[in-house]
Amino acid sequence: MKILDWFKYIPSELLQKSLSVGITLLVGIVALRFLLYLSAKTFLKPLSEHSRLIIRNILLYTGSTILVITVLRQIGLDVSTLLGAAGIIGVAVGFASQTSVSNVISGIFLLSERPFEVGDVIKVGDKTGIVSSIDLMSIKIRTFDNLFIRIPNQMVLNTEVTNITRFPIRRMDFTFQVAYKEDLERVRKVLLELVEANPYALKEPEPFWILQGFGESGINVLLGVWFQKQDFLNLKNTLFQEIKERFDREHIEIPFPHRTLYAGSLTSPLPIRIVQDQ
Amino acid sequence: MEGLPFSEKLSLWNPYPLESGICVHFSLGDLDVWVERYDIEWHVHTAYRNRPVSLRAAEPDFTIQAIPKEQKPVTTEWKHYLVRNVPCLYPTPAIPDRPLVVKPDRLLVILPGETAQFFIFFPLWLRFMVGPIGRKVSPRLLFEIPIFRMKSTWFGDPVSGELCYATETRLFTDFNSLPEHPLFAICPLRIRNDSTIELPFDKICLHTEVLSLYGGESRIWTNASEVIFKGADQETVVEPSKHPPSFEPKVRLLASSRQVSDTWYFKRTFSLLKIITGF
Repeated sequence: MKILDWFKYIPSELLQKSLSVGITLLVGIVALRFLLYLSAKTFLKPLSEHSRLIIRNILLYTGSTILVITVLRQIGLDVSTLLGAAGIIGVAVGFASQTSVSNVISGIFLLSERPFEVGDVIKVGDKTGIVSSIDLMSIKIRTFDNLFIRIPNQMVLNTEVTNITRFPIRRMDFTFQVAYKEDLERVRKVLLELVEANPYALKEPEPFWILQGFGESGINVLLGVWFQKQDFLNLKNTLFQEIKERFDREHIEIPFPHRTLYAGSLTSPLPIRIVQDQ
Repeated sequence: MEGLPFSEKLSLWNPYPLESGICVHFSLGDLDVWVERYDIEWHVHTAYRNRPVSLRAAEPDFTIQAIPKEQKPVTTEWKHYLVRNVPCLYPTPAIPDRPLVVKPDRLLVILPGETAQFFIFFPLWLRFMVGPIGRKVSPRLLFEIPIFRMKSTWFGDPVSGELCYATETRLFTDFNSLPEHPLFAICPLRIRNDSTIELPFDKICLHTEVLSLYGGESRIWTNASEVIFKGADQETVVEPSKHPPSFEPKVRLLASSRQVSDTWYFKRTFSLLKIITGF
């Protein structure tokens, strides 16, 4: 009863306006959410995740803006006056929000340039993860160990971004050394046989074999193998293991780093005494 | 011809009524399959023997035999399928699920203005269907699996090519010399060089998903394809025929294409639209 008594002291015009604004907000929010739900179930469904997110954000921001303007008009505020006033305070606000505005503009450039899409695996700086959303001010990525990282758009635009999953196939480079005593042609044949037998390695583009140079302890070799982007782990784990096992069977040495000591070019080698535990 | 059993050479593809509790071992190509039925359950186990794809496989091409329970593989990798009481097994040949990059055993150069007829062999997939005896109702698919495991390969540039299987084939040009093999399909391929330059035929990407399978007297065929080469700077036209192959008088449809060819062409057009609009 006490609460109802309160209403007697509020002017009826104010009460009416508050009620009307409340209803408008409620109906507006519900309608907007319903529109987003409906669009997700209908015309957005056949589109890619990236496109769905962009259109959904456009609908959300446009709908929210219309709702806010409607509510302001209902309250009695003249929106055009507000816009005029915004020009005066805009300078002050501009200085305060230059980073935010820069992020928004960077976001627009990112959307038009499309260096990556939602679902791509990207590397920004030292952070690697799956793009889960591209928003007005920032992008969100989820790392492989399930961390959530928010990266401002301006930072993304000013940094080198590597899109790991942009193209359907990639090349994995295996670099290692073989001992100087090894027959390189035999090593090459063994490696190519392993690649041919591995189910995750593609036959074409053909595997890439190159002798990179004479290292300190052995000959540097690079083997490049093409694979489908989703087979990264499978190829890496299986081929590494197969190379190790096959090299062991064939007695192909991957040398440990070693040094040869000379006492001097014209002197005898240094004597070594081996001490055994008693 | 529909409904009649296959000849001895293709008898692998005949239906097999299977009593409950009986285990049958299929040995074909690189693949071993063990199948047994218990009322409404079908138990299946598959294993590969790491044999290379070869038309010159060891004789016989396939064996099918009932085996005692003691000889069943002891493994946890049996798959169990629940199907209403359908006692008949229908092994069916199927087209591979990806395009094939076919490399002939020798490099052949087709001169300008010339047309060449080839017969290309490629290994089939195996579909195990189950249904009532007599095909009163369409059989249901249990699973499908390659008979020979082919290596994955990429056709086209690394940015926009497509994933295929790689296979090598002897280049047959004479129908009378074609071997009869129940585990391979023959694709008649006609290549026409309408350009002014030589066409070296060292490999071709065969879009098998638009090809159907037909069973002849002792061979399995796909519908024919024609390739028209108009020059290096023009698009090569590939036209699969919509009719059964005409190299044998009587053939029956064994399996429809995985995709309808008109849809396939439409999809390629639509892909271009996708690139333009960005959606």
